[in-house]
Amino acid sequence: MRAGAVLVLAVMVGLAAPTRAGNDGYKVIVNPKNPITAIDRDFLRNAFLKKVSEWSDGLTIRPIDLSAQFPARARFTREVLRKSANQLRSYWNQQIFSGKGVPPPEAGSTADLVTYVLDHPGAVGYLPSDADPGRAKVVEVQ
Amino acid sequence: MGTLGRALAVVLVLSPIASADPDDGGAALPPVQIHGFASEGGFVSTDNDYIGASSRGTLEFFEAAINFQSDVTDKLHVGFQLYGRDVGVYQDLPPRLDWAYLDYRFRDWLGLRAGIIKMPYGLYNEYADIDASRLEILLPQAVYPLADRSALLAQTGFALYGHRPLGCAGELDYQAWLGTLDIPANALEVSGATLDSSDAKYVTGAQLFWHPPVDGLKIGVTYLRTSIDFQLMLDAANVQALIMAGLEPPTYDGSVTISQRPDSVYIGSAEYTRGDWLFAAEYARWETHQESNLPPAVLPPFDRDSERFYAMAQRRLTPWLAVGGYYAAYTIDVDDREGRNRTMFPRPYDAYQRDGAASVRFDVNDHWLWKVEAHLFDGAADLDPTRNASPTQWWGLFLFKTTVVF
Repeated sequence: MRAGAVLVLAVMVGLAAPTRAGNDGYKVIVNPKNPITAIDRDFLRNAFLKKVSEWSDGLTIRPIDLSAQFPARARFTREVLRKSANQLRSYWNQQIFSGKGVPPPEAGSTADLVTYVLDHPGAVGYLPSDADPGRAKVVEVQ
Repeated sequence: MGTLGRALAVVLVLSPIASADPDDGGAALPPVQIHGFASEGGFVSTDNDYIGASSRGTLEFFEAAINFQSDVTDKLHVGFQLYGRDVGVYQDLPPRLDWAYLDYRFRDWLGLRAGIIKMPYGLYNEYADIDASRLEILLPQAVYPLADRSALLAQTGFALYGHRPLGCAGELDYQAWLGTLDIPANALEVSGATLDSSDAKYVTGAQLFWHPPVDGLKIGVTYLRTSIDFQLMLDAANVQALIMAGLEPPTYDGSVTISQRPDSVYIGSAEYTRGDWLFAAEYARWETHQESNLPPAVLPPFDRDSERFYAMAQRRLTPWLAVGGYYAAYTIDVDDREGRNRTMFPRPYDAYQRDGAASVRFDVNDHWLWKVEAHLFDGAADLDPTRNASPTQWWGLFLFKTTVVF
């Protein structure tokens, strides 16, 4: 009985992962030194899946994710990466345990994400559509 | 210093170069990434012993791995993984070095890996031991047999790989490799003899996956070729029998060399994901030419062409529940599908094994999952004859498993 109670509690904890309320729209940002003004959706997908690693000028791409608590992440994953959260987790498990790579870092706040993008010339990330990008450059997804 | 020691030294010595930037606002990856998983489960069959002592039920269904990876520079990635298992008759304890390699990506269309590298074969061979990345407990055994995992999962050598966009025609992923196989002594099931050693002369192959401009679809082919010599020592009873029959001289010591030159494997693969659905199908042929130094009357040379395929469908019903199933078939000799050769197949159903499977996966959270699975088999081609003297044709297998991954 105790084991059953522990299992039920664990299930409840597991299924009750907190997410932030708010709109799930997103905007893609890059470092202001990056000359691009728009980014191809397939290229953006491959950058976040680490299938491509360089911008057209040879600079290393440094994707950065928002943590799962942001609704914008689920929408970005669905619309740009064309995967569900489970499919994305499986994809990264395959990459991790075959030694091919690890997922992009995750920012726990929009401020952390903007700081990362400003510190890395090759960075690309996304913010909730109502978040302040600061000095980062917002680019159109085509 | 052993192989493991060298791998650890490479990762730990090189990783400080990739130190985290203190101004990253807490978003950077640590210099060395550590990931792992552990699984435990059990299985029971209605008849026959499959994988282990399944007919009486067993909890020998443990797997665990831990890996260390680091991006030394923007283009150089290093890492290694330790893997151990106690899965019925298949044992990797103490844990073995599963993969360990340097990965240098010159361009997106050309990268080089060197070391112990997971070997591409079809859709899932590189990920065959990653329980958390799939729905099923057992991948279709016709195409991904557990018995060959230790031999086929990785090669020691070099691999070239790349990714190439094709504009409106989609994208290509490709790999080519050359190396040798490290086959553990316990990787093969041998009856009437003891495997002393194996010597894989080479393994080479290539894989091409095309992602056409249809969301979620990928189509690919893999070709793999190897040449292996097995050194065995016959049991005393068999040595005596050969001498008594006049097939070997009285001084015969029982040593046998069996050469498989070559083993050629071809596989065609297709996977389609749409929303919560996943469909996959693969068709493979394994061609073997085998010779030995025993008299042809004892072990004649032969050519064998086996056929393996499966079709699979899965659906994720909720973020925490997924279901699916597959039908798989393995035919030992494609020229004798019904087992008419009584010398080779004592019973017709020894010539094939057909497998209908249904699976349920329950994700407790992102790091913990449970699975249950049921199989209905027709045939005995994949059963070890030393453990199944009189196998039954129709039999069931039930498995459960829980995995923690981080």
